[in-house]
Amino acid sequence: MSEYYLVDVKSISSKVPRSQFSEDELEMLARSILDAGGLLIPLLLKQTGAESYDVLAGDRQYYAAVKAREINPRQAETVNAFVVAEKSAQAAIQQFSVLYPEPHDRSPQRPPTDGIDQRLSNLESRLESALQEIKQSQKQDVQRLEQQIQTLQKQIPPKVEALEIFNSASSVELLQKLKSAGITGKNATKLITAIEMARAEEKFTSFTDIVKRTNGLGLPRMLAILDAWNHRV
Amino acid sequence: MKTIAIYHNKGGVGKTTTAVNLAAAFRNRGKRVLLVDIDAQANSTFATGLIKFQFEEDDDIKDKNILQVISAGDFDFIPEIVRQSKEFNTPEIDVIPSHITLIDEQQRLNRLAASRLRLNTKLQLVEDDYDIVIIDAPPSRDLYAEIALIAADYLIIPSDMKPFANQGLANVKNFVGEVNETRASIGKAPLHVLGVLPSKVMTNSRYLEYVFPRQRETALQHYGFPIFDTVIYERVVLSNCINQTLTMGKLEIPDPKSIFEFDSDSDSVKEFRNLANEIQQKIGA
Ligand SMILES: Nc1ncnc2c1ncn2[C@@H]1O[C@H](COP(=O)(O)OP(=O)(O)O)[C@@H](O)[C@H]1O
Ligand SMILES: [Mg+2]
Repeated sequence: MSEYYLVDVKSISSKVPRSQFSEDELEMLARSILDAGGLLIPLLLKQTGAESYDVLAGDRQYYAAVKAREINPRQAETVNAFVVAEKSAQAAIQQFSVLYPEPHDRSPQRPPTDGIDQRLSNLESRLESALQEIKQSQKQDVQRLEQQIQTLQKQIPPKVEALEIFNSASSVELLQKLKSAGITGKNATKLITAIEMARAEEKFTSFTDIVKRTNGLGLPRMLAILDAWNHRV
Repeated sequence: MKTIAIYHNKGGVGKTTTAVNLAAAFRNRGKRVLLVDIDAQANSTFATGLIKFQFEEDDDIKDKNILQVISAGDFDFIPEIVRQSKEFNTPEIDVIPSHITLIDEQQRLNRLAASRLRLNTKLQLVEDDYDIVIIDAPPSRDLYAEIALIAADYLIIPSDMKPFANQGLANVKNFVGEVNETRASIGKAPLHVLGVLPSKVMTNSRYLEYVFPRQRETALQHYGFPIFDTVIYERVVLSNCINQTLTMGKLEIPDPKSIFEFDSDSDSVKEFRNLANEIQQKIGA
């Protein structure tokens, strides 16, 4: 069985070195993957672990997908692929090579002629994979850092200033807030209307300003509200 | 961090009621709690006060919910999506909300090879931030239920113990078996079934004396699941606390509460405390 999936690009690896393909061509293909909203000739993959795959055929498209992800990491996080079972692998590869002969052929386009060529291409592929590894681990570090920063930010209690609540809370939020200060029903509705009218004219600049400009909100009530909010935080 | 999924493939048996009030019970003991809603009906999201808006344009959940968590691998991590419950409990709990768009996206996600594992992976990244994670799963045997059971360490199966719910236990059992295969493939131990939780159980004394013990015995004998000692009885306060509203002019605004916030002297509070105790004993949290 060959199943059609969206597979995470980062979980795929290829045994063919990237340097074998022209960067310009990969760039062009990558742009077209992004513009067309996907890769139109799916990769053939073999699953090697819970979240790892090897390219069976379509190395060029694979590197184009990698490039697309470099350009737009969110949009091109995944790529269209057939995940091929072990026993159908041979047949699938053959079908693929008949349908899409030239560029998808896995065999190197220029067979190494002499020793130097061979060594050069080996060097190339080693460099490529080392580079990939560095990129990968750097990305993971950045991710981990971002994660930690977010966690830290979360631990800093979100101190919403009471003044800010008066200035920008929606009616529903005000209703909730007033309720926590024991003001409900008609009283709350009236007060909210008064607050909204006053702040529409001009933002409140201080608690004194609120008391001065809000109908029906005297100093004692204001203090009661602030006390109640303080206790809840 | 201990992750507990609340699941039964039958609806209306009290999964959401259990999930949100159990989350509150643990939070009230000082535990750092995360509630994950992965049911497209978003009942837990509603019950924790996150759906107070009246108009679609005020919907602030649509683009930041569980869907994003399971769609993206390199983006939308838990700390970016999480929010605090609103006027639900003192102290409030952290919630990953759900959204009705989950229904439309299921087909696409089914084709996404890694979607089954993303929640699991992202929860691992916050394992130092939470003591307890509770996942409210949908009443179906689909991708979302699978995601919940892959991410969890433990499973609680609320059941009203009536024949339909009991028969459904066979289904739950098979499903757990399937999920365990996937868990094995990522090196995760089999799901630990804490047990069937008798929930929404009638307080009628004849029922409790004659019928309930037999139903309990059947569940135990037929399906081999352990059964909780704690029973969550059917009590009006438990549905009332979710259905609270505030009125403002002509608007009725939902104002749901945890049972602890709504009526701290109720029998239901005692039952949820007992449940939290029993779970803590079983999982050592
Ligand atoms: N123990 C209980 N006592 C009274 N009503 C309950 C109880 N448990 C659940 N309910 C009510 O039953 C309905 C379904 O419960 P819910 O928790 O949403 O179930 P599920 O999540 O399994 O579909 C809700 O209206 C809820 O308020
Ligand atoms: Mg539910």
